[in-house]
Amino acid sequence: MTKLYILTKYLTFPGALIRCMWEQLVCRICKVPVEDNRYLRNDEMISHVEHEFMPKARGAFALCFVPAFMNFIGAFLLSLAPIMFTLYARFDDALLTAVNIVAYWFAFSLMVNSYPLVEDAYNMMEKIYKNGNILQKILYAPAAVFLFIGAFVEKYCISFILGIALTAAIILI
Amino acid sequence: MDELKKDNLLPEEEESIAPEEITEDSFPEEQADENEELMEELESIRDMFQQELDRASAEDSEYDEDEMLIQELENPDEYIEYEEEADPEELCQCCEEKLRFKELGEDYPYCEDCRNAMKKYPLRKSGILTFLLSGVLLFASFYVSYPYMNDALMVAEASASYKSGYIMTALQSYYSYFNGSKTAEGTSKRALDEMVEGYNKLGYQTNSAELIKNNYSEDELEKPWNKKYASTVKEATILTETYEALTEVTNDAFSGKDYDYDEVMAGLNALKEVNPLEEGKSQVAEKYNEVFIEYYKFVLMSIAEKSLSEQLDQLKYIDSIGEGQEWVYLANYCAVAARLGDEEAVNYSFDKLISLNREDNTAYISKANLYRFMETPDAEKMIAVCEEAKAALGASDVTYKHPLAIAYLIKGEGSLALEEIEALFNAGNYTVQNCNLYALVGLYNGDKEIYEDMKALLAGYGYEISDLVTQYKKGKITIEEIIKDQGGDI
Repeated sequence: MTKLYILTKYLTFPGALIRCMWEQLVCRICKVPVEDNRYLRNDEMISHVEHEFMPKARGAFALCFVPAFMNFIGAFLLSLAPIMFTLYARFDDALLTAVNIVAYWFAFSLMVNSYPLVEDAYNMMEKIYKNGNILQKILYAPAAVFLFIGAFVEKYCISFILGIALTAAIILI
Repeated sequence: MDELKKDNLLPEEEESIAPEEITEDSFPEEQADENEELMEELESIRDMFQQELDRASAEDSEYDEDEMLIQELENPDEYIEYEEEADPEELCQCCEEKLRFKELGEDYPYCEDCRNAMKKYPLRKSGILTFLLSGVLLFASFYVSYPYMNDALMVAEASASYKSGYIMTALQSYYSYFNGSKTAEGTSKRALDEMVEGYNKLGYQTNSAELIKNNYSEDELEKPWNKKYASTVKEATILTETYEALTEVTNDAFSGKDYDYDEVMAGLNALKEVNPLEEGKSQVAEKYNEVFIEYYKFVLMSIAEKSLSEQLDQLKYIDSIGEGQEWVYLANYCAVAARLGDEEAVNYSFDKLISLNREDNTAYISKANLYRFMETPDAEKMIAVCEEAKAALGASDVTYKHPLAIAYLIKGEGSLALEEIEALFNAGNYTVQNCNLYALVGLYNGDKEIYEDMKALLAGYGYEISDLVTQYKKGKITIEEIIKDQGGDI
């Protein structure tokens, strides 16, 4: 499974690199030490930076939410033109086709690399629901649950499969 | 500082004399000037020392502490502070030179300096560059796609209508797209696909074949991936050739001349056995379209005034072989079933017609008529179906007002019936049926002028007003009898 996981990360390396960048940026802002900032490495930490756990609920949530949110936004924006392209596509304009295919690949890679590491997701839940205040518990709940499930979706490469399914749906529907 | 001491510029601490201890009483007067000179000298030395100290402090503060810490992490060999006497296991795992920062726990692997440096790791260039590249790509994708955006939106709108089952609306939108767009010609595969499918569903096979031929050359149509287009063109050709063969057989019967029913029927059956390709009557067809032949047999039965049950049986047979060609016979299936009051058959064909095209007005009209032809006419159900039709067809199609006006006649609400038939008429639906119904409703409301107007209008086009309407005017027949017992269209 780890090999498959690593393979999917290499296939979608633009999204993996950008996700790592957001993750490290959040760590810097929250002043949490990053122990290993290699973005692409051949183990289960690929596409994530190795860092200390966030001590507070807000930071723990931000570490999971910000990279996911930014990648989703990026994926959405980058997929707009390619989705339009599927409506009028006849592949007779080489530049148009090439640019849109690459843009969609970037969008796809951002989308499948949105979710946090399972350990970070656990830490987020623990910090929110053990240490967080009542407002945090309520406000963060929808996104926290989504990200928590997403962490497992990504761990077992399901996000990659879902991405392919979504791509097929866009083309066929 | 050592240099200053070496040069005797800075006195040893033990020997230094505090300036306040030297007083005029403790020295003779001649020594007072010397003491003042010594005081000045000491002060100048102190100032010099202070300047030197300030300069050293300023240099230290200029050196970025963070940079230094990062350097320590990246080049531990150059780091000069050593914990010489510490146990190696107690040393930082990162720099291996300083003691671990145990305030964070006994097992914490790093020293405080390394930990601080880790908080300031710079972002990797690969991440930043990929991020910038994605921004460039976003711009590029919109830049190259911009000329097509308007077309894409038009296609999206048409496609949404098509997928919702509003085939006529979709075809109209696609028609505007193909005729109004500068880039449409030969660009949108989706538009082409859905327009071809839409035409095929509604029976405009020749239109779809023409559309395909406008977009693909004969060579392109021979490619394996264009097989479905080639097949559509071939089917349209077969349909045209079948139509020509059928016209030849049924010409006399359909043009009102004398004909032998059995002979024409035998001629139609014979067409099913013919191989037109071998006989040189076709370029592509090895067999004529059987559904089309069977449909012509139904039309012949209808002209020959065979019973509605026989007609419906024929239509049911066509339905068993006619998958994908429902446009040929299904509307008639629904209408005949309605005339027979066969609710099950009407519902079956209605659902099928609506699944093919939600804007099929004939389906709604037949279903509404079903409740008119049932043993006990049900005006409320007719009105309900008409309301359903109104919602599905939109404001532009008011054909459902014909059965709606009849429903109000059944209910005895003449003014409402007049309102509906007038609206239908004002929308430009000048059919013979509508003229007759308008005249009938006018008479029902005591307005003979409408009857005269309709009579004149029909006469202008070479038609006569229906006998049923004339008999009603003469009082020989009632509305109820017209609606039900006389059976057919008004």
